Amino acid sequence: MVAETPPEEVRARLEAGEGFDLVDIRDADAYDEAHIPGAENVPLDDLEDAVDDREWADEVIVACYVGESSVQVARFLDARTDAEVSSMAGGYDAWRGDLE
Amino acid sequence: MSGPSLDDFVDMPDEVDDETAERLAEQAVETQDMTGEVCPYPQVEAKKAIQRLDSGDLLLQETDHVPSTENVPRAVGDAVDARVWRSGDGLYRIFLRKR
Repeated sequence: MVAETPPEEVRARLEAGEGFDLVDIRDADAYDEAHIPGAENVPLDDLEDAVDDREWADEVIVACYVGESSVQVARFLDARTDAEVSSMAGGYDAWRGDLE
Repeated sequence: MSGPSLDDFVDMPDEVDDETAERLAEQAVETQDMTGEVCPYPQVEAKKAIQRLDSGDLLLQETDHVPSTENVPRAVGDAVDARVWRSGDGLYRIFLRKR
């Protein structure tokens, strides 16, 4: 089981400048259209190649459209990295903060 | 790529073999091509279709989005019996039989 982080907590921690990777697994078009400030786009289809090729922060929070695919990706990253990984509950659908 | 793949972390329903998949595909009263589509669209479309179908009818959803093989059956819940076929090269068939 991977944890789910409420979007309000993600927002508060971003505003507090806390260090973690916020990984947006939506496709590039959706990300380019609007994304959470500070989120990094790693589209789902690129993840298996990217997982071993980059450094991961001690903590990673995964975000997608509605918080379902992000759970599966969080399980994957939890197993394949040393990071503490969670899924952003409800995804972008539940996000009430700013977008850029 | 070393280590398990994303497939291994998706909680799929029971899988069927090629022969069973072919037989089930012929029984499907509705087929939805969801290749290229990502959550939540496949879930929404599956729920709508299941509402239209009669008990015993079979809905087939084709997808290349591996999370759907868990998220779609979960979205339609107890209304169906779900099984999955995987091609081995990135295509999946989700079979949803309305109870």
